[in-house]
Amino acid sequence: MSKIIEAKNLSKSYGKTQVLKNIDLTIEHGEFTAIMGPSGSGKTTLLNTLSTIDSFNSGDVLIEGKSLLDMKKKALREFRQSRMGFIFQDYNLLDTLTVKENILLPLSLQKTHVAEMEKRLAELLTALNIESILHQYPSELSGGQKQRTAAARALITKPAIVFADEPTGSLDSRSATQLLEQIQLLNRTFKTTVLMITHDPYAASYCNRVVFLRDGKIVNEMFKGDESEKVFFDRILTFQSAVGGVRR
Amino acid sequence: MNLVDLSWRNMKRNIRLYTIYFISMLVGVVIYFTFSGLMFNKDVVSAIHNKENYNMIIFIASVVVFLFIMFFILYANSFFMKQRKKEFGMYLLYGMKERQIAAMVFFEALILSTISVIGGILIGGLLSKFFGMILMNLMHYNDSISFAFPLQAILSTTVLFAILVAIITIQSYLNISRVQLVELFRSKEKMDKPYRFSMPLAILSIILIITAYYLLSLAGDSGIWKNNFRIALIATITSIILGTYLFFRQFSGWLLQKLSQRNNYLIGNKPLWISSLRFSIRGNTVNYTFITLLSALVIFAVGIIAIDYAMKADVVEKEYPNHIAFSTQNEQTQKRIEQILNESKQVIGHETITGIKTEKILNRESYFINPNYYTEEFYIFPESHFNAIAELRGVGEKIGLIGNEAIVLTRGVDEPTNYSDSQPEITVLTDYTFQVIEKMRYPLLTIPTGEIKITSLQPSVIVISNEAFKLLAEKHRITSYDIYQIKNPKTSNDLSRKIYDLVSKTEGAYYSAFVDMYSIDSESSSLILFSVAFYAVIALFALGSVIYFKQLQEATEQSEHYAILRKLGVSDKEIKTVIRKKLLFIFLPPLILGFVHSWHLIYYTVTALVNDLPSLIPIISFVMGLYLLTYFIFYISSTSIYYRIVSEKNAR
Repeated sequence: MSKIIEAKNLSKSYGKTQVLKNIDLTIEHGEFTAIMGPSGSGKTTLLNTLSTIDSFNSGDVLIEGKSLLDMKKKALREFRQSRMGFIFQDYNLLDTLTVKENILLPLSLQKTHVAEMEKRLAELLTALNIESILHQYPSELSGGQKQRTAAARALITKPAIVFADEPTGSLDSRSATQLLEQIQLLNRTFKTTVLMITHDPYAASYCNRVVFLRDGKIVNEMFKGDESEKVFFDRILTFQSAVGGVRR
Repeated sequence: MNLVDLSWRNMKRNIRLYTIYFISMLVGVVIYFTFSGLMFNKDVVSAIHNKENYNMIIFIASVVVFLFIMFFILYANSFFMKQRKKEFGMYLLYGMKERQIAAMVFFEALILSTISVIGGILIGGLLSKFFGMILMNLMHYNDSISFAFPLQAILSTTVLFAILVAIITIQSYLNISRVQLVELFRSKEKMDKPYRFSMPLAILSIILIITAYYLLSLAGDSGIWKNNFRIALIATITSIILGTYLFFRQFSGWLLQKLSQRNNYLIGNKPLWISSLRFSIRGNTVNYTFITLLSALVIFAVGIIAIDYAMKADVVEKEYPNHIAFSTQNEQTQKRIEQILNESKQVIGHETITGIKTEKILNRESYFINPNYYTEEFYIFPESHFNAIAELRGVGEKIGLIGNEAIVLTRGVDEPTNYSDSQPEITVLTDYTFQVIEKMRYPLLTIPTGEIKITSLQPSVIVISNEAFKLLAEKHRITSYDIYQIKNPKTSNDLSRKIYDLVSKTEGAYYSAFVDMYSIDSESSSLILFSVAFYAVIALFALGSVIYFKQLQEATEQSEHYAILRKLGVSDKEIKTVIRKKLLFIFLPPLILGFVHSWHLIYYTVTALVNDLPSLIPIISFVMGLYLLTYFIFYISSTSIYYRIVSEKNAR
């Protein structure tokens, strides 16, 4: 397996507060990884620095072997556009576009052929169960439908990696389960690498790897292996209570 | 889907926001085009007497209109940019360049301004007849005005709005390049804290406002304004602005805090709107201040101009009391003039007065404050003729003079004086000396009008006793003047023209008519009234839009808050009441303070200039009433829009 992202001795501080302390982390191709940790542990900052959206103070981040330090703004933008997908907690869908237009937006901006757009859209339709809502506007959708639309938008460019920031944070448990199952399915069928931030052990149990962050440092790491979600969930929960992480 | 397509969709979906933006821009174009159209409208220009003055006022007016529109549109645009930050962030994230987004905004501005420029010019052209007629009506002219689309006006409108689009694009580009992608990941978590007031600052705000009012009240009779006008003006304006700002920031916070500490605070829906206001004071202070000051300014400007317009006839009447006056002509001309006057059926009174013109008299300082405004030669009249004119006009008291007593007649700012001990002497016609017993403000002969020049001087007049005059008349050439009073002096333009045409054929003839001066004065004050009325319209639009944008934004932000209320079982009716009360607190204080400000401004400015004006209070009340009505419409539509937004988002 090839390395998609490699963080080496990564540190980041806002003013005097050090948010990330000497992080070493490697994400392999096809992995479905969760970063867990209590509020203020640096989860979002880590995601932002790995996804080139935020800068860092020291260390380095390599994406597909290329150092971010060597890349210019333009190269970063092109990289983000072609190799990365994003799913946000509050969806960030454009209210003025239909579901279909929202999903196709990244391709539209890249001036992809219509035939190619339709082909890629068709691939995602069933996996994410969005066929019926294609021509609706975001204001007419439920939270789960919105997040599935956002997921489709993140995947339409066939990115090397998808960054998801608390994707289930705004969803009820049924929609959350549905979304997690769909992401899991996409990860298995298309070998899409997913890096997800969550504070919810249940969401984390769908991943095959969980990284625990605390006060800006990686404190533990777990692999699911062949375990079921239920067993993995219990293991995560046990660790969390052992280190005093609060179950919400 | 290309850029134009994206921006077009965006406009279609955000129709509510864009409509107000578009309407404001359209009104801006209509008003700007009207002004520049009036400058080039042949019918209007040909009716105007003083063309230089007209062009200047209209030019300044259109520049001010344009600046106003520009600031307003920049404000609206920055509001849009803020609203669309996330959208731009998404575009950036998906690889769009800042330049491309700026291009998109440029297309939007281009579409909007093209439509509004074309629409505005069409509407403005159609309205040109209407506005031209209003202007002519204000000036009391009867010329007819046709529809007009002057090319120069179309060009200047188009060019200026093209510049505006360029400015908007630059502003947008600067805004976009400041968008931080990190913001996309932050969900709306910002928490406001209720505002803590500071007692000293709350008191300071009241002190500042009272100081400003006190300074204004001194305008009539104190040396402060005469000697240090600039300092007094700056002090007043600063304390009004600062006082207003602090009043809203500190005083209203204090008031709300007191309200929330009252015993019955928790009863009814009070906690809902009071707490929501306490949280939003910080964001609303600038708006409150803006609304207050703008209200005060609009009412002040319109009020002052309306008073000026109302007073204009009185002022001209005082300075030009002779409706038609001319030096008596030869028999033939005289007959023709009488014929014209008889045919007009206007004459209500006629007197002929006889006077003697003296040589040039130097050192007129002892008789006049500004001798340069008076002729060097004096005109001597006997008391009986003075009394005849006083009777003809029905204004002024009759006088009786004996021996070598004389009265000097003045005008304008020259204060009337009674000389009791040190009476100035005046020597005329080489060796006749008179004692000036009184300086009287009474223009017997008025400034010649026929051809009005700034250099036209007020004839210097002294009145002497009949006996003394008889003595002088034996040895000197006498001139007589015919003075007519007519029924409708304000519309006697044509009559005055006809008579002037005859009189002016005689070299050095004297001619003066009330209507000549009245028209010119009326032209400029009508123009100013007209322009200020337009400013008021634009200012109201700006005000309306500022309120509208703010409410739109707040309603959208707080819709979740109302969703919770609804879930808690608060009825629709009650939600309406909450919104109404909350908005009342947003609308009412700036209006009240604005009214109080403008009342002080107008009242003391006017009383400093004019001693008594019975129509002052009706005029101010009328202007305020009109303003109140407009403002009330804003309030009603704001509550309904607010309610609609809040309910819409909850419909799901």
